[in-house]
Amino acid sequence: MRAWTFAAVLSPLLAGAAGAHPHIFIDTSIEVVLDEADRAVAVRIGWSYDELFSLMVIGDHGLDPDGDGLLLPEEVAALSGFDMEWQEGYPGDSFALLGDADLVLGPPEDWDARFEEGRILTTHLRRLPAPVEIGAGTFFVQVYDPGYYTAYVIVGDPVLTGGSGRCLAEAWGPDVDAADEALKAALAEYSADQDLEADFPAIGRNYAEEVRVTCAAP
Amino acid sequence: MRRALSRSLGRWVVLAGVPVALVLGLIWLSGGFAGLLQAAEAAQRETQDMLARVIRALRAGQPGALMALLGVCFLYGVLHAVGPGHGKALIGAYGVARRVPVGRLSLLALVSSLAQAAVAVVLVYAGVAALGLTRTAAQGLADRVAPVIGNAMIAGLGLWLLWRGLRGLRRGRGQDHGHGHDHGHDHAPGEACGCGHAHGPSLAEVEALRGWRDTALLIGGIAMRPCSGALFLLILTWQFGIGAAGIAGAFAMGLGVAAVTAMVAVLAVWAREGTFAALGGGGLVARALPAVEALAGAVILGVALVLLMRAV
Repeated sequence: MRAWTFAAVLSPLLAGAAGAHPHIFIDTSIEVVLDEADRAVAVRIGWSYDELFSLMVIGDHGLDPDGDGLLLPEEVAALSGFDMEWQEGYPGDSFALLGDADLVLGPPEDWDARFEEGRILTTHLRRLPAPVEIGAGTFFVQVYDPGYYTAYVIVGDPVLTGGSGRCLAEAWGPDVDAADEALKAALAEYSADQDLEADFPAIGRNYAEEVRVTCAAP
Repeated sequence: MRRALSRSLGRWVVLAGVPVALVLGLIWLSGGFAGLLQAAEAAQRETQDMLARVIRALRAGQPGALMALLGVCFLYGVLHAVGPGHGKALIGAYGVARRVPVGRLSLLALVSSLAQAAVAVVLVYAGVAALGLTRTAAQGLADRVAPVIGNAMIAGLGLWLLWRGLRGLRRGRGQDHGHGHDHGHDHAPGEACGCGHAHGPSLAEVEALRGWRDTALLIGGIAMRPCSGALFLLILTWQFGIGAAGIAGAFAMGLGVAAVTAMVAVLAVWAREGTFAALGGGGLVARALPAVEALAGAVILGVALVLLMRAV
């Protein structure tokens, strides 16, 4: 009994030890590109970095030597592509799904960078290897960092480019209640011989913000 | 009459520590603080942008910018400590495990937070300024290497508490047997008395040594995980030639973290004393103490090993 009291006091304290908090905050904009048959062919991702991270990138590149907070056009041009040197296997923190099925997003291309009011804004395009038939299903774009070092928030309305006009894109916040249930269920089943790293539920995915694209039947 | 009343009131206040800590812990475990954490995250984001603005103001030489920086840094420390955190968990667990006075535990919280800031300063100035590492390399060092050392120290603390607790349990059992033949304390050689007053250092010396070891491991374990926010600040201010302000800011962050950790320290002591009061004091407490210590040590050790394996 006594032991359980202490275990109950201790475990939440220590459960916190495994947690993390984000250090980079990114406002994300999402554009889904459709072909004339309303098939998804690419997504364009826009990242607007928080001011502290933007300042660090400026410091790293030795830009803005006079410290007036303004960048010359050639300095902005030098920024382009700074966040596009992805390591092998890095998923780019953007994920596409059709219903429950994961889709592959190609490597980033066609990128640019801007600087506005202390923030660096970049965009890049990621193509799907083959056009994806949405049909009666739902095409998802989720943004999250599985390690939760970076926090992604979707800002503004998602944009649909191309297509017949029958499709609709909406931004959705995470279903926190469902995600909490999933986490609790996973924790309840957790046993000591499990590999915490490999088996831990994808918290990032469950708590991610996402864009949903649906198309009315023709 | 009045004295008895106030004494029983005091007893109830002490007893209340257990349910308060339990309820808070369970709410946290069940994700009931998700809203609070979300609010903390939004506020973290705000302070992060504010931090960037005061650094720019400082760089531009605006008057009052240094005070603004210290204020924002303190706030940043408080907000980061509200989220799930490792130093807070350790201080809390240690406070439950050992019968540390609340003042000493709070002081420990303060010293370890400031030591954490000092480690960040040393890392940045040794790594970036002296060795010429890039920001990414220095961050990698802080994110990967330092926590391994820190977690190893925490595992050491857990092992230490576990060993002490188990020894205490064994000794307690030995004493129970001893009471059967009262005052039969005849110091047979090789008897597992464990009092240690004949050989080796005095009890007071051993206590002092244990306290010193615990403290060093605890402070080291917390300090070796420097906050990324402090590293960001230090590297930026060094790059912009306002390094002294950055160092002051890093310690202001440490003070902010300490403010929250000290509250956890108070809560942990409250819960522990409440439990002892509930057990009725006396012999039961004496027997419960080593069990609590061993259990807390085992939990700390387990978590540290998991973290260590993940970090390696």
